[in-house]
Amino acid sequence: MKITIDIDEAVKETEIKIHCNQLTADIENIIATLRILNQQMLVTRDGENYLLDVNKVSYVEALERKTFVYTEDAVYESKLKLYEMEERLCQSGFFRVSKSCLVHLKFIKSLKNDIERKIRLTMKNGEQIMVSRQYAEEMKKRLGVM
Amino acid sequence: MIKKNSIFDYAVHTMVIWGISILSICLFCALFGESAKEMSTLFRLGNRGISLETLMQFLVLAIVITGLRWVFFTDTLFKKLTVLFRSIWMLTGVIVSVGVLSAMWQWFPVNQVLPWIMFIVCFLVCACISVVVSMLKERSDNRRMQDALERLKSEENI
Repeated sequence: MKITIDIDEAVKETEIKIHCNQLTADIENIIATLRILNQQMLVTRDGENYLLDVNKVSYVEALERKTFVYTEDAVYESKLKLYEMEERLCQSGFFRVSKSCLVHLKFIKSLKNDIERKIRLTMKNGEQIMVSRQYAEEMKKRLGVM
Repeated sequence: MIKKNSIFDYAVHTMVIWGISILSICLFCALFGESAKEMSTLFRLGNRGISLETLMQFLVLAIVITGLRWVFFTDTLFKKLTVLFRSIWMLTGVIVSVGVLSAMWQWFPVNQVLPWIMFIVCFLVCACISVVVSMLKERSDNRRMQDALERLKSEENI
């Protein structure tokens, strides 16, 4: 893949243009990454592509090798793997709560200690998500209560 | 990475329960040993101490309690049980276990009603104190986490 960067001080708005003969999985991945940098993510639902505002995502879950993106009222699928999502979303208020789930702190309504040093999160829509022991310690550190 | 509980962690837990039980029995023994030696096998040596047999019986009790804790306070067997129901089941399990072991080893005169009532009352009072203390601690921890979450949200502007 050839990458060309053209620096011109006269340019008012940065533009990224992709020249290709067809839309491959690699290119879709690049587009998804760029969208997240732009606080948007490319997701699909019922075969249709959507550009989802990252601020509307309450959590992301990996299930059976697929990555699902949850908003308060809908579920979408993303082509990115969970670790790729984590790399891109950790600066936007997302936090890893288990091997298979990333949660947006903004959508956490309350949190409680549970058995075996786990934490039970209650989301704004009432859904409950468990923070595993491994990530509960990290979450407490981030909250500054350890 | 947090390690999973090993057999040694359970052994340590058993030893802690055993140690605390033996210390309590020693205290009772020193205070009431002579007057209680006719009533209970626990105090058969009066205020001179506790027998090897009693020590082993309490070790069995500590193992049973650790087992019950593994059953009700890990998600190995019950994954969806709430903390409240776990506590209720744990409490019931401990009462039944202590009752059965008391009857088996004659820790108190099991054919009389009064000792049973005293046992149940003592146990429930201790259990209530322990539940209230742990509930208060848990509530304060949860409040601290909730405040920290709100602070983090405002700090990170999310």
